[in-house]
Amino acid sequence: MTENIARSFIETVSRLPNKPFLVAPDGREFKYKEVYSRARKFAYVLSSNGIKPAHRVILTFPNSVDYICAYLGLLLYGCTGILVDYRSRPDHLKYVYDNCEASLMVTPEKRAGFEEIPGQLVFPSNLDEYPEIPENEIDTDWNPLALIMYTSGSTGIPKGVMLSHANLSHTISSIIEWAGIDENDRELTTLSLTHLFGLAHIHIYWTRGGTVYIEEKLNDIPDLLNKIESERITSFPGTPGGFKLILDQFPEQFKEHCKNLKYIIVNSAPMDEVYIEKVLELLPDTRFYMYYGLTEASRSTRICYNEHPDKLKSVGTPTPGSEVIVGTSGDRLIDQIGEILIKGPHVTSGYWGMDSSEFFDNGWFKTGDLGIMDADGFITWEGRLKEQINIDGLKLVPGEVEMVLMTHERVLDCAVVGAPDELTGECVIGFAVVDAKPDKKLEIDLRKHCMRKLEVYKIPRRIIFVDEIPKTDSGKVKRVLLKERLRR
Amino acid sequence: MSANDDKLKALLEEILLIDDDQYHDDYGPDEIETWDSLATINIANAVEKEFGYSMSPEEIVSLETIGDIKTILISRGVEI
Repeated sequence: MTENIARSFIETVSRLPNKPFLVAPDGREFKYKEVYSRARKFAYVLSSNGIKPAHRVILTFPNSVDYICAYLGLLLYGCTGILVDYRSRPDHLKYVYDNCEASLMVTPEKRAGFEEIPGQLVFPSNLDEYPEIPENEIDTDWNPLALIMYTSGSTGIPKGVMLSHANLSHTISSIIEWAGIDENDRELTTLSLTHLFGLAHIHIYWTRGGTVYIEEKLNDIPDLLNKIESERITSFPGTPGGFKLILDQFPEQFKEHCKNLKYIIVNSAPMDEVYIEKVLELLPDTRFYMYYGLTEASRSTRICYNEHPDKLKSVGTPTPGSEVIVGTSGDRLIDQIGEILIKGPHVTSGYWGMDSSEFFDNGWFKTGDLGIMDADGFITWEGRLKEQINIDGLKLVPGEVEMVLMTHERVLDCAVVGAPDELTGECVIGFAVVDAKPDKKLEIDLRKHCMRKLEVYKIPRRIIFVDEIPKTDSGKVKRVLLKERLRR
Repeated sequence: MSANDDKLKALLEEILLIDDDQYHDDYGPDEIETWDSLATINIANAVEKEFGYSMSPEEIVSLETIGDIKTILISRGVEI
């Protein structure tokens, strides 16, 4: 397999030009050759806007066929893609734009509040009228950097994870090897395709020649379950929170409509054993995979729970080509808790524009996650070394929310922690010291203040008013005490 | 505005962080950014706590607007 993921797509186009690649939510099918043509037209649009290979281009779209065509187009033209969640606020996009020195930001439509971000281009609604970029201008050899994906750093300042074509290509071949995905597979995805979990599946399918049914999000569950059966879907990836919603509300429909699924893949956050058992019970003939990884080291471990019903707490063993240890490079721990370290061809070389040496230990990427490796080599994820909060796979750090809360005129001090949540794994809880009457109205006012500056999932579910935020002598918030208070 | 309507409005303000001018019967997830699938579940739970009526899964997924919530409550004898 070629190392360039756009080249893999071209190889599939020449093998299966008339095979459907994408199916839009309204049922419109797009064959491989059609998506290729649209991607080349978008590459022409880039070229005619002065973009050159290796330029960095931001795409911020909801799930759609246009988005995938734009993404493929920029890769075919040799650009680096920066994929930003469509729910992101203007401040975040502006930061990303400046940090990666982007040349262009492409959106599906003009958006109020985003006017200050320079270099914007609306995806042309008349794309069909544009010419395709000539074949001799397709450039899949020169620029090794495919993506820069921004994640929350421990300080709350986003860092751009650099992912090369070689990184992504290894992940593709690894998943194909252990999950056995082939050109007959048909996947229905509700995952955000600006995040690596959902996007990597698109890469796999375009490499193998499968078909992907794109849905904007997990909305009408009964309708989606019907579609899984009527369209003979074989793969349905999702987050633990998404599966919990389905299993709690529609277990019978899930059992009936999903019985022919070849496999289910879950990622992004830990899943409660009760729900894993429920999936195994309802769909005994479907392979149920979980994988663990980070944007920096995607799909580093995997497990098929059907084969290991005694390891439901584990996220499995290293994927082919990955090495995973717990502890440090010089002191590997077995049956003891320590930091998870990862090495392999899928691991990022570092973060855009910054010295990344502190994130590596003798070539091992330090994940910041805590885990335990048992004597059989199975890893169990135990939490985060630092303070990141994981809302069903969407991550944030307390500092992001605290910075916003502190800008409210009534807030004197504050702290934010993650609290356990049955549906999403964790939720955000704020603690605030205020110089006004601490009542419900003020709590709602503070949450609305956060809503204006932060993505929806980062808004505190509750704000608890306190007299004082517990801190160490050096001024660090004692989050453990705040979490204990929530448990009382 | 009835007392129950006030209760529903307060409940939705707390969950969805809506302002007064967003409390319209025909407003739903398209108009209210904070109304996602998790918010729908939270609304159903809060309605049960406040009005004592437990929505069925079918009713929960059919909630597309504020008016839909009112329709369900009215059908259960709640005066709004």
